[in-house]
Amino acid sequence: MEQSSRPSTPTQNRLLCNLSQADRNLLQPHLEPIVLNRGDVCVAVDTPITHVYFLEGGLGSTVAHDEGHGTGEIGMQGYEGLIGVPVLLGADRSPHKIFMQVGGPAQRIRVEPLREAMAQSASLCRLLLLYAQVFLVQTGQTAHVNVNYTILQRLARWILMSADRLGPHITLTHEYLSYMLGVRRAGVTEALHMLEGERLIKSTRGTIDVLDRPGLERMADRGYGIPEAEYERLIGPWR
Amino acid sequence: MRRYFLHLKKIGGYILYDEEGYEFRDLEAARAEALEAARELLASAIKAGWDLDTQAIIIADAEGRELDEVPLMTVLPKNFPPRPI
Repeated sequence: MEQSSRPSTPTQNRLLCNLSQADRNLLQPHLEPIVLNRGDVCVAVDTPITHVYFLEGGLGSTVAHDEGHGTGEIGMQGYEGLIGVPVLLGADRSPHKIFMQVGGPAQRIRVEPLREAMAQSASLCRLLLLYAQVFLVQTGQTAHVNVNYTILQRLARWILMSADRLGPHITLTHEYLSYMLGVRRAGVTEALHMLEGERLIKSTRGTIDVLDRPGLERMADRGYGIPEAEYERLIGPWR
Repeated sequence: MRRYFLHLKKIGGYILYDEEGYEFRDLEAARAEALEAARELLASAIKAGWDLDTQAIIIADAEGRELDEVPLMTVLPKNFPPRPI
């Protein structure tokens, strides 16, 4: 992580954009522009959380991990959201790690001034809790698709969710994808090959390009779109 | 640790190459991963009702030498398919 020298120009973060001027004024003095790099850990396992990060780009990922059974992604966020949902809900730490899969700019705020601002403003509190709800819907959908959808549908969903936040050119290794999807790498290679065979994506070493977004949406079926629509219904347009 | 690659051998001889490779302490560990991968490929194809065109997983080293091959057949449960009575 590094301090950013960017001036405080209009933010790209959709939550900050949706705040009233009064709520922006509450947060603004405490917001610190920062650049997050791939691999940066924003919330470490069972460790006091120091900051909440309003992302302006990149891709953050919440993962569950244990030595015996590996790693699985349970939620992702980009410029539409923030890293630090446990803080919004009143917790000081979390058993899940949150880190950057793809780096990007962010505005971060220390936990105490955010809590104070939330105590002062019901409208700020409401918006942030609505985001927490959208995030919970997303993790619920992830659990649902992991149980009831094929690896091909899950991969299509994951690519769509990443493309919403990063654009149609995604740079991630198969090894990473296998952690995120909770499948072995051979399964990722095979599934990417099948999506390529359907001409939905082009996959080369370490990159995925979306060729046919409607086709990916058909492949993902109802596995994709529910949390995205909830965001639009509760908070506002973002994709 | 050494670098191993697990390629997918398709019906008709086409090979889907593993471009990233894995770090394993020895061939035995690479074989264990290939067996787990074979189980997962076979299981997800059966569950989804797909035709499976992968026949085997080839274990190769960084120089491209084939060290071993794990046919997907070998991970079928014991006594399956059952013998006719």
